[in-house]
Amino acid sequence: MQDGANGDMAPATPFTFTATGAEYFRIWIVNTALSLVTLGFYTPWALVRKRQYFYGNTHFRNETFSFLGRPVPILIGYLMVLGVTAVFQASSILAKSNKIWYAVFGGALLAWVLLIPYLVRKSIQFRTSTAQWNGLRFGHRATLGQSYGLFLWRALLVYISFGFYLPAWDLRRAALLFGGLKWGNLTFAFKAKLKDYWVAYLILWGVSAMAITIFFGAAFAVLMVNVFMEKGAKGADSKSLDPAQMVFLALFMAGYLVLIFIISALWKSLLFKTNWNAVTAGPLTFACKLSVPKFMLRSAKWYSLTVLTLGFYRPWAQVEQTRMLLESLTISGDESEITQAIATALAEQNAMGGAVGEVAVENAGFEVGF
Amino acid sequence: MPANKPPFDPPLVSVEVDYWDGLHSQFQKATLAREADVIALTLASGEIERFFTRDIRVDPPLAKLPREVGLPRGARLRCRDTEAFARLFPQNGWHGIHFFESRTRTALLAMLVMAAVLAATWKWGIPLAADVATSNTPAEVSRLLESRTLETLDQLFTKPTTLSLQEKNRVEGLFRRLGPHLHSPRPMTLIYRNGGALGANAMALPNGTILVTDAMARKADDIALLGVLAHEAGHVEGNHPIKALWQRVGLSLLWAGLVGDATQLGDISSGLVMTLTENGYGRGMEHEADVRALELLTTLGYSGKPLADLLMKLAPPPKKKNFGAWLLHWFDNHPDTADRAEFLRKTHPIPKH
Repeated sequence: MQDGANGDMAPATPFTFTATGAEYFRIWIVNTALSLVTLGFYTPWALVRKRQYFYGNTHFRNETFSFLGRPVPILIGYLMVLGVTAVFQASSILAKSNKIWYAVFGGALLAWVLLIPYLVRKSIQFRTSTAQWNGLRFGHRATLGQSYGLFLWRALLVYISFGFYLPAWDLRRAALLFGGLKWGNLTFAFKAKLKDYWVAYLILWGVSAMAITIFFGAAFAVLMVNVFMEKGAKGADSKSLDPAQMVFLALFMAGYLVLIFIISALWKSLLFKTNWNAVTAGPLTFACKLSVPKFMLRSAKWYSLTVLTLGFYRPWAQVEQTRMLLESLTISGDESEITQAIATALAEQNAMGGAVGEVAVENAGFEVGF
Repeated sequence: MPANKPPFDPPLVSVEVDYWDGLHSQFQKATLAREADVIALTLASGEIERFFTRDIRVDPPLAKLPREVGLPRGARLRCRDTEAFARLFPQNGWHGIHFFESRTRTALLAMLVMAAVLAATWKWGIPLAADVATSNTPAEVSRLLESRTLETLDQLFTKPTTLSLQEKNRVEGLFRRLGPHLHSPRPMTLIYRNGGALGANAMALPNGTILVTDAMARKADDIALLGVLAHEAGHVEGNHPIKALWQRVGLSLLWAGLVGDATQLGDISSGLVMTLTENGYGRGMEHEADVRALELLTTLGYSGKPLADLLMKLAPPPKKKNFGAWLLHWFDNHPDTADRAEFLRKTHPIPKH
């Protein structure tokens, strides 16, 4: 363990991830079996177990993380999403017979849109306050006003601007999510420039558009050659596809899905890297040395194997992906802050003389899957 | 017994733990002991902290991770000696789950059980539930679904019919011959559309309406068309469109359970699995409708051969049975045309109703 005394000169400390695919496969298969048998009601308990396993295997400075979340808040979040979906579905079907259901649908939609910023903040609080490292919990400082400003008003701007506001919005979102973090009395900050986000987005938009254009162009060319060669050989009224055409169609769809997945891997890894390279916490600086092309190649492997094994490769894919992302992160700077950090609750507790800790975890909210 | 100071006898078992007080990011070594519903924590300083077991939260055992305990006021302990720790706290249901997770053999057993449950649910559970749901679906819902289906078809595929009154009358005449032999839960009616990409086709809609495309009405000769109508009537009698819908609902629930914490990976692969499993049901219902068509044709004194010939003409099976064709057959919700034709050509005894 390094006692980094002289600030920036201290070596970068990496994160390590010790989960294994085989070990997580066993947890996953039992989780999945129980979720099935209970018609999905075990899912929150399964998620808690999964997070406990992933957090417990994440190491930094010889200490592991802990997940403190309980299943019931997660269950409440699930039931909420289920209820809203049911209202939307039912009212959109019933609107065909009675116009009053249009009003119900519209009302539900409006209520949902207005609720989203509140729910996002609750979820952020749940995710952060249930994470613990070295005896202190994480937390988040985002206010309700900030959440509404970002996820309602500025989200609207993204639509109005046809997406041109997206890089600026994403920067603000990252600034809120990462910059709002705290651990004990150590507060995080986010120092990215708008220029970095525009560069990242121009790469993302450019590569995505180019890849999709080339893919469709190639597919169209193959199709044209096929049609040209087949012409005359078959009657004009032959409506059904022959096997060669169907194999082509199947390959086309499979190829398209793989392409979409590789592109989404590009988005995920490039933004992950851009974001974490801008995070600081007091005197500590985060750095991410993730290789984006490597992540894309690996994603293609994870995706293909998962589909080919009908989903059974997923535990390995998840463990490998988490390892690749986590182990790309390092923290450098004066680490004495870490050993000296004390819980923010200490001051409050002294003032109130009551039990803040555990109660706060229980009341931190619920999780809605965003 | 005073509530704030639980009595404590010298412990029988104790374990070494790391203790965080919930306020500082540095643990201290401590010794944990238990007596009935009280635990005692002896710190290095010699100070002893006591808690009632109802106020603490023992995390269930998981993989080879150290055991952790949440204490009041955000304090926490961690015990790396999991065996000794297990002697302090009694076994509960989580230990059973941990047992299954810890060994390859038991995990594989869980997988087998899961596969069996999945297969049984797919084979019997969902069809049975779909049957029950189908017979309890109100007519209002069938009517709504039918008008929605027709709307979608009209938007995407079909145009108004170009059939003459004479051509329509021929189809109606053939359909009336089936009438006395049908036992449908609802009246059946025929509608016509210019099928476009659907080609020569016919389909049963959720509320008993049978859609016949212009190409089908023109191309098929009398007996073959009678067979097609009988096949679709079979779908209506069996309430297949509604049943297919309920089967889809059942399958979605099943896969939602399987990939509960779904990510993109899960979504796409489960979409694939959905298509494959749903088509299994589709093939079953097509066969059921073929059986009924053959029954009706035989009752009227005809063979299934003209229907078989029409099928072979409209959807000719591939000449060579290659791997590609075999692979694709799983993506088809209709059974193999050649098999269907062979079945329809055979003579079957007239069933009694």
